[in-house]
Amino acid sequence: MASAAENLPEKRAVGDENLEAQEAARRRRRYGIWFWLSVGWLIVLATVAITADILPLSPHDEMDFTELETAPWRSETHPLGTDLQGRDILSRIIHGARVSLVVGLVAPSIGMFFGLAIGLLAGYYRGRVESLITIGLDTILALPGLVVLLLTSVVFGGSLTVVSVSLGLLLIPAFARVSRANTLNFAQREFVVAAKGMGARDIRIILREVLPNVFLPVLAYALVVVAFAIVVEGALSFLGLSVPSPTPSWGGMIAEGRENLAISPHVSFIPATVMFLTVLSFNLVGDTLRSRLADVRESAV
Amino acid sequence: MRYLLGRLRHLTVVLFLVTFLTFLLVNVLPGDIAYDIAGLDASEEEVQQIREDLGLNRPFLIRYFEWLGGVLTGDWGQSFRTGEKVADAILRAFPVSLELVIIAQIFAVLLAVPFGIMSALRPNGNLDRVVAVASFLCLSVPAFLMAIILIYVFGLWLEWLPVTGYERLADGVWANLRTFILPALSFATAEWTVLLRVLRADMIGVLQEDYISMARAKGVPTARILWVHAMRPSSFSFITLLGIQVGNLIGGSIIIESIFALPGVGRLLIGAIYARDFMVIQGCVTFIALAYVVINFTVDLCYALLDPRVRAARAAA
Repeated sequence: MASAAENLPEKRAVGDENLEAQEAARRRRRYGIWFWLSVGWLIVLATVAITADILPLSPHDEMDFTELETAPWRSETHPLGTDLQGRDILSRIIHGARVSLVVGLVAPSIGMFFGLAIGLLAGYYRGRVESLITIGLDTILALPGLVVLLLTSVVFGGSLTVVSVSLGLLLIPAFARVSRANTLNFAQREFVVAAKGMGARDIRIILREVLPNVFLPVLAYALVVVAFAIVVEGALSFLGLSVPSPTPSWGGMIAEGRENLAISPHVSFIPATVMFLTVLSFNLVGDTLRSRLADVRESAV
Repeated sequence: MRYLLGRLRHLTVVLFLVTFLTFLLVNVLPGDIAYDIAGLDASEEEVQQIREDLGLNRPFLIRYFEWLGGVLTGDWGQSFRTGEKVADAILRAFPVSLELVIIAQIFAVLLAVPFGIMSALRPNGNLDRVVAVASFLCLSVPAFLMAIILIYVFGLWLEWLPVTGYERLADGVWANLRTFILPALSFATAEWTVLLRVLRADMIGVLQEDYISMARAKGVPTARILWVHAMRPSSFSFITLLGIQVGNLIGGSIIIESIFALPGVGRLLIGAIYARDFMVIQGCVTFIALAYVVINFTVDLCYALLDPRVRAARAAA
């Protein structure tokens, strides 16, 4: 009958089904617009920060007394307005981006380098080595992090190096944990057992069998840590304990804008928005990569 | 039981190491305290005399163990600035920080529980997606930034709430609570996302269990299923996370307390750091680490007690 005939599936060539399956797989593998927007923002930020000196910007420490606290988009020479001392906000933000990005990249790198190594050792050897390492890690974790950073800033003076290094050291336990969790996962797999059976030395197994597998998830985690590091640097410079005064930093700009928050909120909110977008972008990219790279079995850990 | 004793031993070692490291770091502070106390035009002998009196000339280890002995007997030293005993200062500041932390957690729970339950009811539904986006955005706003935003919106623009200051409980409950709303919200807007994630994940798992399907088949109304049957097994990770966050916040309240001028432990600490008052610094850091360790241990304890599976596993072992 007519209705039965209409219910028959259309005849399709085998090749078409194949194409459709490929299309579906490609759609699943795509990263989505928010991911690429975030990547775009980060690339723009990094480029602008690196080329800051050759860009046609007003100098960031020149105080323009004719235009104090100008609102954004009202002035020709100051596209984003000026702060309480007449300094151009746009160029200060760009120079501040240098500070944030340096800390945001150096500190997690230090943490990742040592944390990866420590986690690998703890997860591979287990036993007493692991207990000792865990005690050490827990100690660092029990120290209130911000307090240690404040103390080191006061003791050694605030500077890019001090902040990056001390934050990097404080990040080691976090990386070590992730590294250890992943190592525990991979160290029991067949290919490691096979390598041991063939007589490979431990160091070779760790470096050639375990490390390549552990590295990717740790790297994805590192991106989220970068976001965290930028926030911490922002907090430190907010308290005035990061880079010293003439150098602009996002947190410092936010703190300065607090004085006249009711009258000129833009002085605080523009750097705040830039910081928020940057942290959001790192979080998004890191989270997406992490869920892409994660092995289903690892969620049990 | 043995597991708990092992944890206790582990945590005690950690505590000792923390105090030792802090003592080390604090005593590297440049700017001799003796000079600060003596004043600008004191002579060398006066400074040396002060160093003798304070015992700054003795070897480091001896000073550490003396301090440690003092701590264990209740004498945490004296502030160089105000002469107040450190223990008194901390006891004065702690209730303020504690109130801040508790109110912050209450806000976080109030946000996380309803949204977590509703998200778990229809995973990947419209509400779930909106909540997920909102929580991701909130997660990316650091606490001090949120504080500035809240101050601007509620304090300066709408003028609903006070921007800084602290009123004691004795001066009125509502007045006291008012001063905590904005600071607590600054914390809660980041904390609720973590709680939400955990609660949602656990509850989705629980809602797939057989006994839930059974209850539905019996015709039990959804609300009752959620509250009576699903909530308890879903809440283990939630409660442990809550406890851990409390432990973390005690040390993390420094900036928020500074911004809102709340006289808590954080503000005490940062004032001491600026003033190189190392007795107070030492005392505060020890206290914060102690609180962190004690809270984590309590969380471990509660987890072992609450989760019948853990109890049964150990009883069988």
